[in-house]
Amino acid sequence: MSKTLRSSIGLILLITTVSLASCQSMLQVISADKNDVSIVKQK
Amino acid sequence: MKNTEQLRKPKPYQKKQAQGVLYNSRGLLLYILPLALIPAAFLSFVYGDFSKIITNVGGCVAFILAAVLLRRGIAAEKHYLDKKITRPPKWPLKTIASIIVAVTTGWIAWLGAGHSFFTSIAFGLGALGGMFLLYGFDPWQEKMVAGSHGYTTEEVSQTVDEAEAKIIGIEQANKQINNRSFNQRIRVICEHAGEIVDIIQDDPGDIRRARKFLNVYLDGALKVSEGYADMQRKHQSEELTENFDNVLQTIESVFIEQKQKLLEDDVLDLDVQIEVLAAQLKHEGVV
Repeated sequence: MSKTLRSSIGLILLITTVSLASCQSMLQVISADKNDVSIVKQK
Repeated sequence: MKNTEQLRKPKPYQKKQAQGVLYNSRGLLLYILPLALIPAAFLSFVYGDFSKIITNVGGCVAFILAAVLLRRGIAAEKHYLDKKITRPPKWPLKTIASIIVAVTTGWIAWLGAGHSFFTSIAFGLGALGGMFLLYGFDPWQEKMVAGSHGYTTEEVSQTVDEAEAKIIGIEQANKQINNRSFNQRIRVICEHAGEIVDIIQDDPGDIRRARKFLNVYLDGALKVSEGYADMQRKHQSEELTENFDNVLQTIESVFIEQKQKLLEDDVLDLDVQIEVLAAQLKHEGVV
Protein backbone atom coordinates (compact mmCIF):
# COMPACT_ATOMS: atom_id res chain seq x y z
CA MET A 1 0.00 0.00 0.00
CA SER A 2 1.47 3.36 -1.00
CA LYS A 3 2.03 6.02 1.65
CA THR A 4 -0.50 8.39 0.06
CA LEU A 5 -3.23 5.75 -0.06
CA ARG A 6 -2.48 4.71 3.53
CA SER A 7 -2.61 8.33 4.71
CA SER A 8 -5.84 8.97 2.79
CA ILE A 9 -7.55 5.95 4.37
CA GLY A 10 -6.26 7.02 7.78
CA LEU A 11 -7.53 10.56 7.27
CA ILE A 12 -10.99 9.34 6.21
CA LEU A 13 -11.15 6.98 9.19
CA LEU A 14 -10.15 9.71 11.62
CA ILE A 15 -12.58 12.25 10.18
CA THR A 16 -15.39 9.69 10.16
CA THR A 17 -14.89 8.51 13.71
CA VAL A 18 -13.60 11.50 15.69
CA SER A 19 -15.56 14.31 14.07
CA LEU A 20 -18.70 12.21 13.70
CA ALA A 21 -18.65 11.19 17.36
CA SER A 22 -18.00 14.82 18.39
CA CYS A 23 -20.76 16.25 16.18
CA GLN A 24 -23.24 13.58 17.29
CA SER A 25 -22.37 14.33 20.90
CA MET A 26 -23.14 18.01 20.29
CA LEU A 27 -26.43 17.16 18.53
CA GLN A 28 -27.31 14.86 21.41
CA VAL A 29 -26.91 17.74 23.89
CA ILE A 30 -29.06 20.02 21.69
CA SER A 31 -31.76 17.41 21.06
CA ALA A 32 -31.87 16.45 24.76
CA ASP A 33 -32.66 20.08 25.57
CA LYS A 34 -35.38 20.23 22.87
CA ASN A 35 -36.96 17.10 24.36
CA ASP A 36 -36.90 18.72 27.80
CA VAL A 37 -38.62 21.85 26.42
CA SER A 38 -41.35 19.80 24.66
CA ILE A 39 -41.97 17.81 27.85
CA VAL A 40 -42.41 21.05 29.78
CA LYS A 41 -44.78 22.36 27.08
CA GLN A 42 -46.87 19.13 27.19
CA LYS A 43 -47.18 19.49 30.95
CA MET B 1 44.24 27.33 2.06
CA LYS B 2 42.45 26.79 -1.20
CA ASN B 3 41.22 29.90 -3.01
CA THR B 4 37.80 28.38 -3.62
CA GLU B 5 37.34 27.93 0.12
CA GLN B 6 37.91 31.66 0.62
CA LEU B 7 35.77 32.88 -2.25
CA ARG B 8 32.66 30.81 -1.62
CA LYS B 9 30.10 32.59 0.57
CA PRO B 10 29.60 30.54 3.74
CA LYS B 11 26.11 29.71 4.91
CA PRO B 12 25.12 29.86 8.59
CA TYR B 13 25.31 26.41 10.15
CA GLN B 14 21.98 24.61 10.28
CA LYS B 15 21.17 21.18 11.57
CA LYS B 16 19.97 18.91 8.78
CA GLN B 17 16.22 18.72 9.16
CA ALA B 18 13.22 17.23 7.40
CA GLN B 19 11.87 20.69 6.55
CA GLY B 20 8.51 21.64 5.10
CA VAL B 21 5.23 23.24 6.01
CA LEU B 22 3.42 19.93 5.71
CA TYR B 23 5.80 18.24 8.14
CA ASN B 24 5.52 21.09 10.64
CA SER B 25 1.73 21.14 10.47
CA ARG B 26 1.39 17.41 11.07
CA GLY B 27 -0.77 16.55 14.05
CA LEU B 28 -2.79 19.78 13.97
CA LEU B 29 -5.77 17.78 12.68
CA LEU B 30 -6.37 16.44 16.17
CA TYR B 31 -7.08 19.97 17.36
CA ILE B 32 -9.61 20.52 14.55
CA LEU B 33 -11.58 17.26 14.34
CA PRO B 34 -13.09 17.32 17.84
CA LEU B 35 -13.96 21.06 17.70
CA ALA B 36 -17.68 20.22 17.97
CA LEU B 37 -16.99 19.10 21.54
CA ILE B 38 -16.43 22.74 22.58
CA PRO B 39 -20.03 23.90 21.85
CA ALA B 40 -21.23 20.54 23.18
CA ALA B 41 -19.40 21.15 26.46
CA PHE B 42 -20.64 24.75 26.59
CA LEU B 43 -24.27 23.72 25.96
CA SER B 44 -23.96 20.96 28.56
CA PHE B 45 -23.09 23.65 31.11
CA VAL B 46 -25.95 25.84 29.90
CA TYR B 47 -28.47 23.00 30.23
CA GLY B 48 -26.90 21.74 33.47
CA ASP B 49 -26.46 18.17 32.26
CA PHE B 50 -23.73 16.82 34.55
CA SER B 51 -23.00 13.55 32.70
CA LYS B 52 -22.70 15.43 29.38
CA ILE B 53 -20.43 18.02 31.02
CA ILE B 54 -18.07 15.25 32.17
CA THR B 55 -18.22 13.49 28.79
CA ASN B 56 -17.68 16.54 26.60
CA VAL B 57 -15.21 18.47 28.76
CA GLY B 58 -13.27 15.24 29.43
CA GLY B 59 -13.29 14.54 25.69
CA CYS B 60 -11.96 18.03 24.89
CA VAL B 61 -9.15 17.69 27.43
CA ALA B 62 -8.23 14.18 26.24
CA PHE B 63 -8.12 15.20 22.57
CA ILE B 64 -5.95 18.25 23.36
CA LEU B 65 -3.61 16.04 25.41
CA ALA B 66 -3.46 13.53 22.54
CA ALA B 67 -2.72 16.33 20.05
CA VAL B 68 0.13 17.68 22.22
CA LEU B 69 1.63 14.19 22.64
CA LEU B 70 1.24 13.45 18.94
CA ARG B 71 3.02 16.68 17.96
CA ARG B 72 5.85 15.88 20.37
CA GLY B 73 6.04 12.35 19.01
CA ILE B 74 6.22 13.71 15.45
CA ALA B 75 8.98 16.14 16.50
CA ALA B 76 10.91 13.26 18.12
CA GLU B 77 10.47 11.20 14.97
CA LYS B 78 11.70 14.13 12.85
CA HIS B 79 14.77 14.43 15.06
CA TYR B 80 15.30 10.66 14.65
CA LEU B 81 14.96 10.86 10.86
CA ASP B 82 17.36 13.81 10.62
CA LYS B 83 20.18 11.90 12.28
CA LYS B 84 22.30 9.21 10.71
CA ILE B 85 23.20 7.81 14.12
CA THR B 86 20.77 8.04 17.00
CA ARG B 87 18.67 6.17 19.53
CA PRO B 88 14.90 5.81 19.18
CA PRO B 89 12.73 8.29 21.14
CA LYS B 90 12.51 7.49 24.86
CA TRP B 91 8.69 7.38 24.95
CA PRO B 92 6.37 6.05 22.21
CA LEU B 93 4.40 9.33 22.20
CA LYS B 94 2.58 8.71 18.92
CA THR B 95 1.34 5.35 20.17
CA ILE B 96 0.20 6.85 23.49
CA ALA B 97 -1.61 9.63 21.56
CA SER B 98 -3.28 7.03 19.30
CA ILE B 99 -4.53 5.05 22.31
CA ILE B 100 -5.89 8.22 23.95
CA VAL B 101 -7.69 9.17 20.71
CA ALA B 102 -9.17 5.66 20.36
CA VAL B 103 -10.40 5.48 23.96
CA THR B 104 -11.77 9.05 23.88
CA THR B 105 -13.56 8.52 20.56
CA GLY B 106 -15.18 5.34 21.90
CA TRP B 107 -16.08 7.17 25.12
CA ILE B 108 -17.66 10.12 23.25
CA ALA B 109 -19.54 7.78 20.88
CA TRP B 110 -20.93 5.77 23.80
CA LEU B 111 -21.71 8.36 26.46
CA GLY B 112 -21.89 11.52 24.33
CA ALA B 113 -23.52 10.43 21.08
CA GLY B 114 -25.53 7.60 22.67
CA HIS B 115 -24.33 4.73 20.48
CA SER B 116 -24.39 1.14 21.74
CA PHE B 117 -21.32 -0.21 23.53
CA PHE B 118 -20.17 -2.33 20.59
CA THR B 119 -20.73 0.45 18.05
CA SER B 120 -18.63 2.70 20.29
CA ILE B 121 -15.86 0.12 20.32
CA ALA B 122 -16.01 0.15 16.51
CA PHE B 123 -15.64 3.97 16.63
CA GLY B 124 -12.59 3.59 18.89
CA LEU B 125 -10.99 0.94 16.69
CA GLY B 126 -11.65 3.07 13.60
CA ALA B 127 -9.92 6.03 15.25
CA LEU B 128 -6.99 3.83 16.31
CA GLY B 129 -6.60 2.49 12.78
CA GLY B 130 -6.87 6.00 11.35
CA MET B 131 -4.15 7.27 13.71
CA PHE B 132 -1.73 4.47 12.79
CA LEU B 133 -2.43 4.76 9.07
CA LEU B 134 -2.09 8.55 9.03
CA TYR B 135 0.76 9.08 11.50
CA GLY B 136 2.47 5.69 11.56
CA PHE B 137 4.28 4.00 14.42
CA ASP B 138 7.04 5.39 16.63
CA PRO B 139 10.58 4.60 15.53
CA TRP B 140 12.03 1.91 17.80
CA GLN B 141 15.30 0.83 16.22
CA GLU B 142 18.72 2.31 16.92
CA LYS B 143 20.26 3.93 13.88
CA MET B 144 23.92 3.09 13.41
CA VAL B 145 26.03 3.08 10.27
CA ALA B 146 28.14 0.07 9.36
CA GLY B 147 31.75 0.05 10.55
CA SER B 148 31.19 1.72 13.89
CA HIS B 149 34.35 0.04 15.26
CA GLY B 150 32.77 -0.86 18.57
CA TYR B 151 31.46 2.61 19.41
CA THR B 152 27.94 2.64 20.75
CA THR B 153 25.13 4.71 19.28
CA GLU B 154 25.09 6.64 22.57
CA GLU B 155 28.76 7.66 22.24
CA VAL B 156 28.49 8.77 18.62
CA SER B 157 25.15 10.47 19.13
CA GLN B 158 26.44 12.34 22.19
CA THR B 159 29.56 13.51 20.34
CA VAL B 160 27.49 14.76 17.41
CA ASP B 161 24.96 16.51 19.69
CA GLU B 162 27.70 18.19 21.71
CA ALA B 163 29.52 19.33 18.58
CA GLU B 164 26.29 20.67 17.06
CA ALA B 165 25.44 22.55 20.26
CA LYS B 166 28.90 24.16 20.23
CA ILE B 167 28.58 25.13 16.56
CA ILE B 168 25.24 26.78 17.29
CA GLY B 169 26.85 28.53 20.29
CA ILE B 170 29.62 29.89 18.04
CA GLU B 171 27.00 31.12 15.54
CA GLN B 172 25.17 32.87 18.38
CA ALA B 173 28.37 34.56 19.58
CA ASN B 174 29.14 35.51 15.98
CA LYS B 175 25.90 37.50 15.82
CA GLN B 176 27.20 39.74 18.59
CA ILE B 177 30.51 40.47 16.84
CA ASN B 178 30.49 43.66 14.76
CA ASN B 179 33.23 42.85 12.33
CA ARG B 180 32.38 41.56 8.88
CA SER B 181 35.70 39.90 8.32
CA PHE B 182 35.42 37.98 11.61
CA ASN B 183 31.77 37.13 10.93
CA GLN B 184 32.71 35.65 7.59
CA ARG B 185 35.62 33.69 9.05
CA ILE B 186 33.53 32.29 11.90
CA ARG B 187 30.81 31.21 9.47
CA VAL B 188 33.43 29.38 7.41
CA ILE B 189 34.71 27.68 10.59
CA CYS B 190 31.17 26.60 11.50
CA GLU B 191 30.59 25.28 8.02
CA HIS B 192 33.75 23.19 8.16
CA ALA B 193 32.88 21.97 11.65
CA GLY B 194 29.44 20.92 10.37
CA GLU B 195 31.08 19.00 7.56
CA ILE B 196 33.40 17.27 10.03
CA VAL B 197 30.33 16.28 12.09
CA ASP B 198 28.84 14.81 8.90
CA ILE B 199 32.04 12.86 8.25
CA ILE B 200 31.92 11.43 11.79
CA GLN B 201 28.32 10.34 11.25
CA ASP B 202 29.21 8.68 7.97
CA ASP B 203 32.24 6.92 9.41
CA PRO B 204 32.35 6.82 13.21
CA GLY B 205 35.60 4.80 13.14
CA ASP B 206 37.75 7.83 13.93
CA ILE B 207 35.44 9.22 16.53
CA ARG B 208 37.90 9.20 19.42
CA ARG B 209 40.41 11.42 17.67
CA ALA B 210 37.75 13.48 15.92
CA ARG B 211 35.95 13.98 19.23
CA LYS B 212 39.14 15.17 20.90
CA PHE B 213 39.82 17.46 17.98
CA LEU B 214 36.27 18.83 17.83
CA ASN B 215 36.15 19.32 21.59
CA VAL B 216 39.36 21.31 21.76
CA TYR B 217 38.89 23.30 18.56
CA LEU B 218 35.19 23.94 18.87
CA ASP B 219 35.63 24.76 22.55
CA GLY B 220 38.47 27.07 21.56
CA ALA B 221 36.42 28.72 18.83
CA LEU B 222 33.43 29.05 21.17
CA LYS B 223 35.47 30.54 23.99
CA VAL B 224 37.34 33.03 21.82
CA SER B 225 34.16 34.09 19.98
CA GLU B 226 32.22 34.59 23.20
CA GLY B 227 35.22 36.23 24.84
CA TYR B 228 35.78 38.59 21.92
CA ALA B 229 32.07 39.48 21.66
CA ASP B 230 32.09 40.28 25.37
CA MET B 231 35.33 42.27 25.34
CA GLN B 232 34.28 44.15 22.21
CA ARG B 233 31.24 45.50 24.05
CA LYS B 234 33.39 46.78 26.91
CA HIS B 235 36.34 48.26 25.04
CA GLN B 236 38.02 48.02 21.65
CA SER B 237 41.63 46.90 21.77
CA GLU B 238 43.79 46.58 18.70
CA GLU B 239 45.92 43.95 20.33
CA LEU B 240 42.91 41.85 21.22
CA THR B 241 41.50 42.16 17.71
CA GLU B 242 44.82 41.10 16.25
CA ASN B 243 45.08 38.12 18.60
CA PHE B 244 41.52 37.09 17.81
CA ASP B 245 42.29 37.33 14.12
CA ASN B 246 45.36 35.11 14.57
CA VAL B 247 43.44 32.48 16.50
CA LEU B 248 40.58 32.45 13.99
CA GLN B 249 43.04 32.07 11.14
CA THR B 250 44.66 29.13 12.89
CA ILE B 251 41.35 27.48 13.67
CA GLU B 252 40.04 27.98 10.15
CA SER B 253 43.11 26.57 8.43
CA VAL B 254 43.29 23.64 10.84
CA PHE B 255 39.61 22.80 10.33
CA ILE B 256 40.09 22.70 6.57
CA GLU B 257 43.21 20.61 6.98
CA GLN B 258 41.62 18.22 9.44
CA LYS B 259 38.51 17.79 7.36
CA GLN B 260 40.74 16.71 4.51
CA LYS B 261 42.68 14.37 6.78
CA LEU B 262 39.49 12.79 8.08
CA LEU B 263 38.31 12.28 4.52
CA GLU B 264 41.61 10.66 3.69
CA ASP B 265 41.55 8.58 6.89
CA ASP B 266 44.82 10.27 7.88
CA VAL B 267 44.47 11.21 11.50
CA LEU B 268 48.03 10.72 12.64
CA ASP B 269 48.82 14.30 13.56
CA LEU B 270 45.46 15.31 15.08
CA ASP B 271 46.87 15.10 18.60
CA VAL B 272 49.82 17.31 17.70
CA GLN B 273 47.50 19.97 16.24
CA ILE B 274 45.32 19.89 19.32
CA GLU B 275 48.33 20.62 21.52
CA VAL B 276 49.41 23.42 19.20
CA LEU B 277 46.02 25.14 19.46
CA ALA B 278 45.87 24.74 23.21
CA ALA B 279 49.27 26.40 23.48
CA GLN B 280 48.30 29.17 21.07
CA LEU B 281 45.09 29.98 22.91
CA LYS B 282 47.09 30.38 26.11
CA HIS B 283 49.77 32.42 24.40
CA GLU B 284 47.37 34.81 22.65
CA GLY B 285 45.50 35.33 25.90
CA VAL B 286 42.09 35.49 24.24
CA VAL B 287 40.48 32.91 26.50
